[in-house]
Amino acid sequence: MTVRIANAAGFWGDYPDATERLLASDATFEYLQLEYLAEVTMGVLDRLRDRDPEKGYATDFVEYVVAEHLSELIDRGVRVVTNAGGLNPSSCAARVREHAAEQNVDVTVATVTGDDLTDQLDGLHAEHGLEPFEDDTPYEDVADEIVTAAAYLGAFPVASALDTGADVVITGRVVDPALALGPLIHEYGWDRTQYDRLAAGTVAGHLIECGTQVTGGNSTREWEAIEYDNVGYPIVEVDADGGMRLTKPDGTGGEVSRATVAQQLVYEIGDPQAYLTPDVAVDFTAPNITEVASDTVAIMGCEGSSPPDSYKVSVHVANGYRVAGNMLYSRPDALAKAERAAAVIESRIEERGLSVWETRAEFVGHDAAHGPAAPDRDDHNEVLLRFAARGPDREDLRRLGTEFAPLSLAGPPSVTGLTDSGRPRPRPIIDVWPTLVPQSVVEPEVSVGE
Amino acid sequence: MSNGGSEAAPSPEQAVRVGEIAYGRSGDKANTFNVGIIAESEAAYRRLDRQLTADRVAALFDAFVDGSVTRYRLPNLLGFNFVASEALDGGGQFSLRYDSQGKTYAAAVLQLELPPESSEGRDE
Repeated sequence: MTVRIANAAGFWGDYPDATERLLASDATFEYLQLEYLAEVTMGVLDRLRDRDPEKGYATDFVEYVVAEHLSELIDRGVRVVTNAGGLNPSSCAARVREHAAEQNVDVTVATVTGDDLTDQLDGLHAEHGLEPFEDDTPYEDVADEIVTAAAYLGAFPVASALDTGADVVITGRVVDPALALGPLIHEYGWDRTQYDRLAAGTVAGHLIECGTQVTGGNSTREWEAIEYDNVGYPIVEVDADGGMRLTKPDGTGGEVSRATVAQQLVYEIGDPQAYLTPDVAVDFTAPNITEVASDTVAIMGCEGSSPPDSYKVSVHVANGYRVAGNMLYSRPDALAKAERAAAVIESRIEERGLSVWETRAEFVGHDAAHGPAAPDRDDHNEVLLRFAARGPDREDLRRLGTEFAPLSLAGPPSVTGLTDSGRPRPRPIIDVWPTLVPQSVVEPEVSVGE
Repeated sequence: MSNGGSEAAPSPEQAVRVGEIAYGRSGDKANTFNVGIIAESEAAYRRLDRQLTADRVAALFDAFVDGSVTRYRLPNLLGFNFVASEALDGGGQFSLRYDSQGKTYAAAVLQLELPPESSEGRDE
């Protein structure tokens, strides 16, 4: 026996037709998981929920997966596990049930919640003293500006949701690998101390959670040879003993190789010997990666140990506003022109007395990606000035947004680029203040509906 | 199978661009970025172990990193993970950088040129 888990979303913004592509292939899988919640996505969801209390979940899931494919998924016996619930899993689940009724399919939808600690934070701080995880900003400095706070739940509540017989499991914030480990715990009955198995399921989830980034997308190794049309979404087959193979549907683009899997293993990790979730501490230096067939890689020998006794919590904090605008300058002397334009904006900020914390001028085509780590040069065909600023006052940054267009008449020559978009508008910054809370204060909850 | 292991590695007496003997990927967690680098062969891994030090990567990103750079080894993978703290201008939504998540930073490491080993002191 093996359990096959496919991924059809690596973030909110991934191809809407990913599920369609997987279903159209001849690949078979028992679980479909979709990952939508990047750190920055939580701030976006909060703004959406502010405007409409029924929102605050990843609408792509309902629009492109449920509306278009729910009945086929149910017919084929594929169970769906996703964190599309975001800040509002119950609303997301309600939309899924509505679509099920419309499509006349019998679907059990479960939600996993208990991650939302927003209303408890002050009390938790009073009792336990919340410490900053990253820098030394104390809780008191962020307390008044908190918009939402979510604990990263583990895989066991996801497994419990599947134990109820649910066809669709919708979570709020869980650690991304829980979307794969949950189904494996459910299928194999792994218990909380089978750390090597839990580690294997976590590695499986970590490898597929970014979708096509493990099947050739974004690989820096011999990228010229990779077929980027219809890159196959990943499927991981995990055995009861924790051995696994990662592959992609036949006839798709992309590549599954030691190189693509190794790059994803090290993606967005810290100390590789201590990849921590509420379920297990995984040693990413343990597994061996071997190419076993065309576009098939085996990952063996995963090792884990007991998890930390705390949950990581992302506290999302309103912290001023940000605006960014662009102007394109052509040769000759494109960089010099763009630099002069940036200097004009700087002096206008001063003259007008606009309140900004910080500004940043980047010269796209010259230094925007790597700064001074990139070689110096002065022969650019063109340079895009990107000027960004942040500050406490939305109105002042709106005013700063009016400083770009006039430069087309009043600044350095051979400038263009006003027709793509209008005046840049400020957007609220939702910052992240990560912290830890004791495991005992978080109570994951599973609810099942019709 | 392993990839590239049989290719002749550039001699340690020659300068080499990291991207000629390795590949990699970078990403973010809040205000931290990491760069994972995977060597093409065991010889390349050993050379990177000697020459692609945390100090060298920290110097490359000097303008970007307010905290520090830590290097971890993943010998099974022939890999290294470089973790840079306080390194994304506040990270995510706060950062004013176009690349606010450090997605392109692995490419900067792969473009780094390592000098001939004989030109460097062997302190270790």
